[in-house]
Amino acid sequence: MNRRKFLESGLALTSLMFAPPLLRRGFAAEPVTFYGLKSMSGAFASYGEFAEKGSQLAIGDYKDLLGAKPRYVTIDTEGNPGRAVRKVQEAIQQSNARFFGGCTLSSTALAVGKEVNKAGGIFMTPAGADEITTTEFNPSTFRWTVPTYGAIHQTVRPLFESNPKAKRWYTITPQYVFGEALLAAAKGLFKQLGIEHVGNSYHSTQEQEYSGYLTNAMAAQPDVLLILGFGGNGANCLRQAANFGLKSKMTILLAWTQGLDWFQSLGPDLLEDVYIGAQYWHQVNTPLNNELVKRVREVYKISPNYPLAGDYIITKIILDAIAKAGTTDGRAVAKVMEGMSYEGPTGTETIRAEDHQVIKDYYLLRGKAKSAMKDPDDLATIISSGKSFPDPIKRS
Amino acid sequence: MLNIASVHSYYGKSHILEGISMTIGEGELVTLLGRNGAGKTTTLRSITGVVRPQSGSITFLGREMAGREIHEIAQAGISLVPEHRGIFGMLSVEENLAIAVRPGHWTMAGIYEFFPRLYERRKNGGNTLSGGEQQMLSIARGLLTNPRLLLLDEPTEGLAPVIVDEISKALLKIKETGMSVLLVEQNLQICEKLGDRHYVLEEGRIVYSGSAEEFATDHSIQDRYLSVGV
Amino acid sequence: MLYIFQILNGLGLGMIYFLISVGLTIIFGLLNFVNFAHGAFFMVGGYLCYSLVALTGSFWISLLIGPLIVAFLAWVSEKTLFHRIYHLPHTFHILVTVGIALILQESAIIIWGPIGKNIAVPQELQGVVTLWSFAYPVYRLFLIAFTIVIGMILWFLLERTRFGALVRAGSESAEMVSLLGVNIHRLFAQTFALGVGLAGLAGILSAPIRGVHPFMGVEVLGIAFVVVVIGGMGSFIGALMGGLMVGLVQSVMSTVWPEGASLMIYGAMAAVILLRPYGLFGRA
Repeated sequence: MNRRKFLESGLALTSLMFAPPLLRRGFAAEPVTFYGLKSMSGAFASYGEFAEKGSQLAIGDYKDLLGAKPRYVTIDTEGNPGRAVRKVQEAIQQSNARFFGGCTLSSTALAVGKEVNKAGGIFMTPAGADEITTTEFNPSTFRWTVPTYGAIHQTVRPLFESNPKAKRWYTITPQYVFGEALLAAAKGLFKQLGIEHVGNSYHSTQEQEYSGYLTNAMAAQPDVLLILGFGGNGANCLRQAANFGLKSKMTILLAWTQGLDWFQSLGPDLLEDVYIGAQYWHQVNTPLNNELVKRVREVYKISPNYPLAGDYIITKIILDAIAKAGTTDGRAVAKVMEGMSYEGPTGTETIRAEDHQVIKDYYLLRGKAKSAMKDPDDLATIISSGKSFPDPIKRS
Repeated sequence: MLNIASVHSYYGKSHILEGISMTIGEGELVTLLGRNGAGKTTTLRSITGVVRPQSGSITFLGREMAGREIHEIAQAGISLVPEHRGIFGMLSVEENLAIAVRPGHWTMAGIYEFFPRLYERRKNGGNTLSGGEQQMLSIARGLLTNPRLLLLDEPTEGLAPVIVDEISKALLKIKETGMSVLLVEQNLQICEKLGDRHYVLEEGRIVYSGSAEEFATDHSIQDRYLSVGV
Repeated sequence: MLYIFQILNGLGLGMIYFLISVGLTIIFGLLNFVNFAHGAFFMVGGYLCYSLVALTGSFWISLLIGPLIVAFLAWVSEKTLFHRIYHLPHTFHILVTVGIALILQESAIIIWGPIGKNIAVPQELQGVVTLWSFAYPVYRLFLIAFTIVIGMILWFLLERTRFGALVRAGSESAEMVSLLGVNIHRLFAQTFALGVGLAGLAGILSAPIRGVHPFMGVEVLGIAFVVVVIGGMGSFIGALMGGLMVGLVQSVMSTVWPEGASLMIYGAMAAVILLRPYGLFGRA
């Protein structure tokens, strides 16, 4: 074969290779792609694992969204804001990504939200920092979790009202922005309710050794010990408080927790009679949650926890909003989401138009004794729940 | 009992020993003389395994030693009293001795008899001893391993004449027990007094080998090989 | 009154730090080996405690067997890997041991999951001792007593046995010890296993207080090095004094200036180094 013929046939073959995608582009709809930002590695890998399951479940429900089966792409945040943002930028620039959900860390969420807003996309997150819906608000970002105000009001108030003689409260606070926010909300509520704040101990987020703070707390002789640390901090503080025999001397309340696996790692002996605040509990009796629990048990053989439920509903909300808006234009979908009411895991939930905060319940739980547990996940009872949110910041 | 044949040893890239050959017979006290830098210490290190000879062979009691581990060679019956004594300063005199003990003629009690000063100072730390006492300790330790061959690297270096004399007497007594000894020294008198045979090492080569009588009568040796300066 | 309890806490904490650091300092003293995997073995000890308790239901069995398993793992690592790199500069030690530490950490995550685990205080040691208006956990008192006993046994081992004399002699000159006919490779391996086994023991003892999680090794490594620097590399008494000092500073600071507790530890280290560059009991 001479050279010219060879080149010609090569060209023909190559164009044939590219033809189908080109053809498809022309005739079929572009599938909607949802990007899940999960911490699949690093210190928060356990969270990411569950969150991933939630998103997969929600995507799987959609056979057709705007003409094609929606696609799902995982972005591993690695628990690192810098890396996460870069991956998001790549996705936006190279793959025209517009719809994002997830992010455990507030620092990551804030950075990602800015990027997505620049591209006019949609980003919904379960991250907890107040700024997300106040000072750092942007039109693309939405938040599912109850921030610090609600976490405090839905735990401190009902606990105090059920035991108004418990007037002396001691706080143990992780010293960083989030901890400070919880403490400020607590102090504000203490004043309202006439609770005596008998002392506070700050600790670093790296702290392992709480004996010093607990000894201080003991000295103040409080009625209630309010622990504002969560995750590892909360676990160690609670464990050591129990070691020191504090459970029999005072009531213990942990205002913010992360999910069922945290409860399981501590066990009923530690959790019994401890009051715990939670964003979600698998025993909540609502239509969507009952359905979710059944499906998750079937598919994954576990009970859903907060990360799973959170990212499930976040994914579902965005997909539903795209369907309702009938377009993949970010701003249009955002318009649909503002004010949108839907059935969520905690019951009827509404996305507040002014600040994109989901108005939902926050729960006060109490740890159960081992003998009272009906199954290995039955670690706590729901004492109360409700919605407490500060007014949205006025924006011009 | 010890036969060194054509050994080449290096220190890093420097070719220190350029094919040396020596023998030490049972019960002999052989001396190795030479100026600073001639390679005397490297010779001892090659025998004890601290330095692995590049080529050549070192046989001891019929077994090849070159290339073996230090502790293997020591266990075969070769004991080194090193340059600068190698005392463990943070251990007591007693501890220094105790860790060396191996079964045989020399015992802790026997050593204390031989070196009464060590017995007096047995609870003292190694680093509180004077230079001479440390040397005695080092020799005592070497003996306690009950070797077949004792190697000494410049035992009188830096010591006052009175102490040198004491050590010389001790070495003589050791020789009289029938111990085979290789003595590396720059002190000519000691070598003449104690040695059955002598070798002279210069720039990595054996340049002289002779019996005590030959050595005593050939006065040019000192000028040729051992004087300071070129 | 409050200060008495802070001091008691500090002692308990300090003894745990001593256990971890004494192994590190002995290993550095004799082997001249910088072991950045030390914290990882502390973690392995903790996780072994969790698994052995889950398997046998007895904390005491895990306290007995756990450190032996860790020591064995250490012995194997020394024989297969570490002894090959002793002669290399310290930077290589750090490279290799950090690598091992990361492997151990990720293995822990694979085997036990990324979230922490809880170990219950053994039945016999539960409860508190009440002194005036304060309660002090029985387990923590046990910890102090137990670690003091271990410390005494260690001291006896180092100061009154042939093995101890060889370790001390070897830290001055390993070559000379070899020349005395002692198999230095075996001595190194045994010492390494001992030092790391102590870290594993510390991990088991601290598990009921702090639980176990994959990053506990990294956290404790920093403290261990601070203690060894303060006390002096290679010094038993230095590890003890350094450990107690760091424990006390941490504990007392949490009353006086909580935010600065960690800072003060590094501050104390800086102060010691300025005054005595080789640590309190170190030698040049």
